[in-house]
Amino acid sequence: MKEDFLLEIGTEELPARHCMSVVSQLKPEIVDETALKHNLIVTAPRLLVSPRRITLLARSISQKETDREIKGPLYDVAFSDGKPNDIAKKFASSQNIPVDNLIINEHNGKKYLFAQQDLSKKLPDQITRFANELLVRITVPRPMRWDTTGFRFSRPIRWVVCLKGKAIVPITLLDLTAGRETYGPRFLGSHGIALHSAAEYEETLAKNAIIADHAKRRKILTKIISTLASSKGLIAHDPENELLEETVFLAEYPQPLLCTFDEEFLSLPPEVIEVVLRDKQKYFPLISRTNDKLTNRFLVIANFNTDSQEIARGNETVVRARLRDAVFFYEQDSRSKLAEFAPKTSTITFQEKLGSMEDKSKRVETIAMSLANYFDVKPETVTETVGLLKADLATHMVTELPSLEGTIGRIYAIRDGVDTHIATAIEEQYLPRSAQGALPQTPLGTLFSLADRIDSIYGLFSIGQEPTGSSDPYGLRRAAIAILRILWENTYDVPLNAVISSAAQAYKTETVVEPVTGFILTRLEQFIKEQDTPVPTNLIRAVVFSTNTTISFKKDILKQLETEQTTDQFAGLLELAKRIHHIAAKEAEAAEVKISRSDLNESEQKLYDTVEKLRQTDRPAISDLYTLTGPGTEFFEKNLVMAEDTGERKRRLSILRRAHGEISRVLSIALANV
Amino acid sequence: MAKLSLSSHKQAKPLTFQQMLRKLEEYWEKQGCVIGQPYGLEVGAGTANPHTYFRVLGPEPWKVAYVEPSRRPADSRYGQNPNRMQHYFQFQVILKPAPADNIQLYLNSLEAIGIDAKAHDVRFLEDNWEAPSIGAWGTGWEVWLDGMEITQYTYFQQIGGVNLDPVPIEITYGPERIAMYLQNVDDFKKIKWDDNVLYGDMFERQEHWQSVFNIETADIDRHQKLFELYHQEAQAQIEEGNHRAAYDNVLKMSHIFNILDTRGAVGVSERAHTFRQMQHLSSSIAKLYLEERKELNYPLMKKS
Repeated sequence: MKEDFLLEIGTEELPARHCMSVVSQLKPEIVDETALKHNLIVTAPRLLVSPRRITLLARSISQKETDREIKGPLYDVAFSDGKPNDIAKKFASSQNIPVDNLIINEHNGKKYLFAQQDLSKKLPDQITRFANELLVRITVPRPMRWDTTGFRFSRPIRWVVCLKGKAIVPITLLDLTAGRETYGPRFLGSHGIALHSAAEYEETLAKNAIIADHAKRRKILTKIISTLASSKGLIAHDPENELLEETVFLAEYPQPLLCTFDEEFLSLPPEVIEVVLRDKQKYFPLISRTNDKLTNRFLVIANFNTDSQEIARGNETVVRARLRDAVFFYEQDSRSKLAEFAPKTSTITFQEKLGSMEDKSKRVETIAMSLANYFDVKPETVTETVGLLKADLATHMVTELPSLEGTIGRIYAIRDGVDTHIATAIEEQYLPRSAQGALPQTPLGTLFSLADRIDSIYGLFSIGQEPTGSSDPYGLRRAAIAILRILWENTYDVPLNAVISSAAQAYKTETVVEPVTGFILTRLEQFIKEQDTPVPTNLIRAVVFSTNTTISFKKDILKQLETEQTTDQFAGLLELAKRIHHIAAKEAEAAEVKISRSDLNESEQKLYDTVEKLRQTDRPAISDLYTLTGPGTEFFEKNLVMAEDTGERKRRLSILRRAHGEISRVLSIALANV
Repeated sequence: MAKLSLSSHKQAKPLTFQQMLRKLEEYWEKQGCVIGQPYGLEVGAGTANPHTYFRVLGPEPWKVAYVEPSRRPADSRYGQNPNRMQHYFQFQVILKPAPADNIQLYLNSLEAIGIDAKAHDVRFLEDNWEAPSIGAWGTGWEVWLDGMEITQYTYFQQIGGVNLDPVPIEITYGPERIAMYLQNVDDFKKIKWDDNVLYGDMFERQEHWQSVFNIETADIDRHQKLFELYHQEAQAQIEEGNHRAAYDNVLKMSHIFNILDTRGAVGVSERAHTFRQMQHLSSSIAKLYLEERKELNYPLMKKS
């Protein structure tokens, strides 16, 4: 009989980010796979997550095998005179069945005893193991202990419900035995809610002010927010829906309240108000539909409750106090110019071994100086920007609201009459702020965004703080991706090598150039694979690890490969490249020696000239490499590379070495031929 | 949406500050807590009181509630900021081991001081606590009442680098915040301490002068010397095996460090160095305490 299945793990309030992570960890295929491991089949599994419960609902749960034959001893051994002897009896008792129930069957041409095992009674056991494994599979950063079981999880687990149809499946999870009692929102008190059947789960919870399904809550939230906001000609301002996603996991029964703060606070920079509302209080700032300007209205998403007036009043009081604090900090900061805060960054730690933010600014200056040319930035502009770059970190406002770093710098710089380019760069050094976040738009901002990040990566590698496994406490992978996104989306002709060696210059050590290069290029490989390119992995790797480290160049080559990779010309080029690589990369004598063209025969000259022409090309295309195929093939046909004569041999090897170098700028040959 | 009929019970007259603290003590006394007293040294939080700092270590059960006057020189605002003071109060509860229904117990305590959780939006938002200088961390929440943080709620995991087993729950109320809410005033100075005297009458001048000291006049040189002297004493006391005296000296170090920090006199490497020193001291202190409890055969085990 098909009966719905319910497993609910009741918790104390899970952090929103942990909820999101549970959703992404317990995908349906993982649930299926885990079930199968314990001889179970769940049909149409659905995972529902809220701060108070992690629920698995399924249309049915059944055993894959209901019985199993266990092979025992050989018949000849276990039977004497056609009757079961002690060995047979022992086997029967080990399987908990009477001797008469043993079966005799052939296996590989020999007769054996078999015991038929009924698995149907093991269902609760198997579900117990399945549920425990699902729980153990969930990982969260810094899990906690809360009781004598010593189990570690996001937050304490307090109850378990497990129903098959209407019946309780008596599983145990940690030291909890499953029942049918669930628990509702705290404001409804501590009494339990009896669940009649698995099929009625969502309906029963809804009656008790709980929307269990996070996808449903997201839909409801989106709708109630836009309805209430637009009724007043307003729009909720929530870039990238970050707050919305978080709010899905902050309330089980979201209810919007429209609130107001005093208009006088609108004299604060809107960015400050938005951070107070959104980051500190989880409120949705509201902007006007007509002019996109921030208004003195905001939306509070409360958990279901009755006295909304009282709740709105409370939230408004909090906002008033917070904004008054912000005004206080703004006025304190206004007593000094932005530049006056800069010396105070010497007391703000960047990293214990890498010094203060002032120290970091100095290194960033060295890096930016050496890269300035690529961005058409003048040295004096670099110096002027560095003087203000990190100053806002010492302001009251950023000390209180750290996510405003850079933004406050820009606002105060403009207030002080600083050049707009410099003010913008102060903010843009922190872009992109998230994996998908906006990139810096100006050359000066881009320069400092790169400099700041390569300083962090290089510095932390140099003190042995590189990311390992899943641990990346300084967010270096994110920093590397930011560098790559910037260089990928722009056409700045700056080689990654130059970026990395500028950091080596700032730290006055070359020791981690290689690991840092490897680290960033490995990220590049990942980054490209996520772009959905038709180019196969070996060619992606060949481009990533080619010797020209200009990212926009690599991007061009990949684009060309999308169509070129299937052509005969490309196959011909690869064939030749392989031959050249075989000799040029492996022969000990293969070095570039000085060649005088007049010493060369005709076919040698042809290849030599083609290679020299490629050398003059800044950004050769794949099709430019095709010019090598004809002369290269002819060269091999007409010349014995490993000639007896040393001079001849070295000359030929040298030509091949040069050709190899030209191809390698575009494609790493060794990696292309897998 | 389903509509639920819930009645809100509001107190006719909100509690004064002193009544509120007394109600909390009465409530937790009924839950079996010892009612402790403040420690009498400068501390940054109720956690530093030995009622918490020592008692959460080791296997012995412990339930305590107390008021702790706390100091944070960095929050000096001359008494002019409505929400921030360099000297304020915490109401601290420790339940060890943490009972499974501790959140309900907490919500009931709010009711006892006139906050009906049924009429408000009470939320538990992720907030983890970490104090590397004493090798301590825990996970938990800040509790919001209609958007206002009124309590820090922490399942302690480690102190002095030692895993806590059983795990205690620490509930730290912000009594000024709660009183401002209950009494509907927008400045701590306007809180009614009793029917006649305001919080401001009691503390405004103290805030002014202590802020002058913390921000402007505390002598950096002398404080650096004081820090070093307390450090030497703490080390000497650890060598004597006297963890209690050592601990007092660490508290002094910590407070003086905070004053120096407020004066802007702590460099980057000094900060890291100081934290390491204190971490080292607190781990030795925790070890000495645990050794003594073991030698005493855990006297509080019998009283649970």
